[in-house]
Amino acid sequence: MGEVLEMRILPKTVMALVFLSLLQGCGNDGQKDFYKGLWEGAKATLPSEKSEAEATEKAAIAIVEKSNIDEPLILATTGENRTLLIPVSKNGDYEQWHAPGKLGFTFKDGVLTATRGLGGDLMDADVEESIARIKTKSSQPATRVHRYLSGVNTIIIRSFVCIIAQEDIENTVVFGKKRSLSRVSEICTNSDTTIENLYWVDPSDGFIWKTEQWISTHVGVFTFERAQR
Amino acid sequence: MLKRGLITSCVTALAFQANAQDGVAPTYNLYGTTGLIDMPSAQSAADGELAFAFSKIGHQQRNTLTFQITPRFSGSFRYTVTKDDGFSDGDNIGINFDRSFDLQYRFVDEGKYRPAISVGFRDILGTGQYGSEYFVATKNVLPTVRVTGGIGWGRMGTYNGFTNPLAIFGDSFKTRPSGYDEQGGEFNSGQWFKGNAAFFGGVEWRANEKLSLKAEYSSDAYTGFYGERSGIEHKSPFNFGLDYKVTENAHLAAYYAYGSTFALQFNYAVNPKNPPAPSGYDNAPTPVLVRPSRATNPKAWTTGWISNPETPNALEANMKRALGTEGLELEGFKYTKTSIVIHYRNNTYWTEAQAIGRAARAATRGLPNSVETLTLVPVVNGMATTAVTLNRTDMENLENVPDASWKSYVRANIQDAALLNNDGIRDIEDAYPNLTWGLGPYMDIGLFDPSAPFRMEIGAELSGTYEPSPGVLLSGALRKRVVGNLDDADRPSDSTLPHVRSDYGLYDKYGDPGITYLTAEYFRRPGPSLYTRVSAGLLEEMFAGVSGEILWKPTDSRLAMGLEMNYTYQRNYDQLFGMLDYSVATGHASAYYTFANGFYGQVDVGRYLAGDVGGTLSVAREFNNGWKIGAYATLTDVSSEDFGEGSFDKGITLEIPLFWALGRPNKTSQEIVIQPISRDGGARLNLSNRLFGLVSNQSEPYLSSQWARFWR
Repeated sequence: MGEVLEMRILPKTVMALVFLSLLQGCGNDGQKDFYKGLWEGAKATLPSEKSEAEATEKAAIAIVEKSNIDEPLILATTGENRTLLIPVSKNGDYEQWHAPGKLGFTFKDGVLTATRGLGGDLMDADVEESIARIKTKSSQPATRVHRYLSGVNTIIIRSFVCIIAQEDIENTVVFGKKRSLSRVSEICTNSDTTIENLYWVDPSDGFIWKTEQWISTHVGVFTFERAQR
Repeated sequence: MLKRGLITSCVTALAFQANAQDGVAPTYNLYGTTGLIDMPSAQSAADGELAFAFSKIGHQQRNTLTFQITPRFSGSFRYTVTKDDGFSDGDNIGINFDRSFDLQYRFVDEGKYRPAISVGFRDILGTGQYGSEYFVATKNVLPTVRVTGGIGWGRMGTYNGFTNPLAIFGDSFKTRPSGYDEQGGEFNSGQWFKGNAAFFGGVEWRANEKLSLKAEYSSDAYTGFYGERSGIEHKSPFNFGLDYKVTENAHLAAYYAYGSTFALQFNYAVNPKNPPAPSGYDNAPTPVLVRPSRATNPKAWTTGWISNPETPNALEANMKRALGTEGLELEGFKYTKTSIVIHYRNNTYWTEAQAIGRAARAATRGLPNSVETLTLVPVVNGMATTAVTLNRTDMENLENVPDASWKSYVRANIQDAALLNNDGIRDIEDAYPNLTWGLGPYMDIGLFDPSAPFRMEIGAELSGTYEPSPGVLLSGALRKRVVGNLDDADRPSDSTLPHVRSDYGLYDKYGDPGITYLTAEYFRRPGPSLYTRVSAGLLEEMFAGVSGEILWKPTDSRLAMGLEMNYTYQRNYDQLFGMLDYSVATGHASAYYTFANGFYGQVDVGRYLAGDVGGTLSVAREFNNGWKIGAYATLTDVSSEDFGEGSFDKGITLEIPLFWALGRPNKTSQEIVIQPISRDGGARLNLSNRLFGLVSNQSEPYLSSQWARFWR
């Protein structure tokens, strides 16, 4: 996204923010409309829609990053690709977030438990012990169990033993904002794989603002940054 | 003599992906089987792997399809074209076409000190030009070095052969009887392990991740009628070469063989177990909407809505919208204060369990809170097939928890939808009439005709189905050729039977444009476990008439039985509405069985199109993602002489679901039948809507074996 496009976006940003503020406080459906509005607003800033979806998404991300936006959004990044997630459902401690094109991500206390639409999805995950260790700053090993779909539609279980380590507080940019957060690493191993998940955690209450999590061999790693609590 | 195989396929690029294998995965030889250069090895390919191999040595071009049927057992079909002046038989002067089948079974696994050991049969069913049997052992002696040694009979016992050691069991093993069979197609069992034996062996060194070097000592002297016409001057038993892994799936190999000949080979392997995207790129499903607590919010759980006159319309709108977002279509529903039965049509997902899971989640977003029991009924061609009943509370509780798939399956109640009381069901008015249509490309391939072993045709096909009411289908397809040479086939049929299939060349020549089919069909469920079909019209490319079928398939049974009766007229070659002067009553009793190990068997007994009576045995390996790879054989009261070349009808069948390759929801499958020889004996009607294929996926054991996609 170059300078030219950013300049084009700026005048529209105000309108988008007004639009957002009008929709604040709606329920789940309202949130969808909010997101749709954000989308439409961003879309209107583009001179042409050659690769409409991609350009629109980049524009929307740019709007949010440039603004002190305080909305329930997650910026998801993998490699060069970025997308915005909006909350679509809360079921007990689990929150589901969707991206345009309907990619789905489920979190429990900020830790990813499932994905949908990525080709090699994490179908579900038992991350109770990891969550507990992150919260209690414990260095006790944690067991993590992932379930995947095999190529012949059976469930494959991959379980890991994880060591969680609290590291120093560092200044980290989360969704365009600088925050002082505690960096927590989770190194998980099994007989053939070692993976590392990272969490940037609010030192006061353990809220996970930013996280980098391994999903599957097929998908690799995603980074998630939250715009607000 | 007419020789032809058919592959009918849409123009579809399939993104095949081979099995990711470790560095010691076997490589393929010039015969397209696991091995060295011209000799086999004892190793098996990855279970389920399907390998296409094309090789050129001397005057021979060998085209082989090898399938690793089970982890130990593999089968190969080969079509060899040999261009040599030594052939002077009939029409085929200077050229010979030959089909051969191989089998190999690994009966000893490789251990720390023990090699893998296999027994194999090369060319067991054809005219026997490669006829060989062997025992072979292979051991990885170093991480990068593999050594193979074996003993062979037949062609593989012709160089430096010695008296058969099996002669200790009788003198009959000392000499190998002639195995030549004019019609081909029958087992040469009288030859097996007879005559001289000889040793062979070799070594394979994996120089790096991509390159392997091979050296072998071959026991094939290239003697005898076919050996001498292979264009290989046998100066040495030693062969050398290299195998280069171009991609994970594709290998190129080059060899210097028999001290005189360069050989080239390309092979491409695909493993149905490894789709490009195991979970698919299907959209994330609609999340379950969790109801408020009944204890803290009892008002949200009142049931007054049941008497509101607006409720039916509101529910219909809600359900239509909810299912629609998941690519499903509401056909009808019935409700009480606490339950709902939803009839839906799934035109999107190959796996019915996935459609059921999505329908159930979507339904939670449009139902009053007091509705606790959700019954989902997939409807196929107007027939309510299976009823899956779920508790809404379970949907709420299990949506995100670990092991949700199994937990939801054990809580689901699966039964025959015909057992439900459907009185009072509210049909959705705009579900019928329903029109679907498409205009797209088609591709037809004709194989194995001696004058042109590969012919094809590409054109456009307009097809459509109109359903005026549930269970009534009016369908048709019209084809127009754009380019191709299928119509060049001009060998007249020499069949002594009624020409029910062997005049295919005339249909190709005069059937453009042609009506592929034009039918009226009626489907109905007369009772539990029963499904019926009546079809009339232009049933297939070559036959028109009336067809009736009844299928018994209990929802929870691996066994199904069916009965089909047809009265048909042979269609004119122009593939329009005219008929030829041939009519026949045909029919079959069929039994279908899905084994627990992933294999499927079918037996059909009855009368075939040429009036012959007999049976067909079909066996297929079914992968849980929709791939099916199988073979069939038909024996009827037609003698092998009357049948002609090939002796009896047999073939290889492939079914490849498009969603496997695309990773996107799609219900289309490519069905491919490779018939080495297409003759008139043992020919069945090609009906597209036979009942077992339509409804089996909605019942057990398929529903449960694919349940892992319930939450996908």
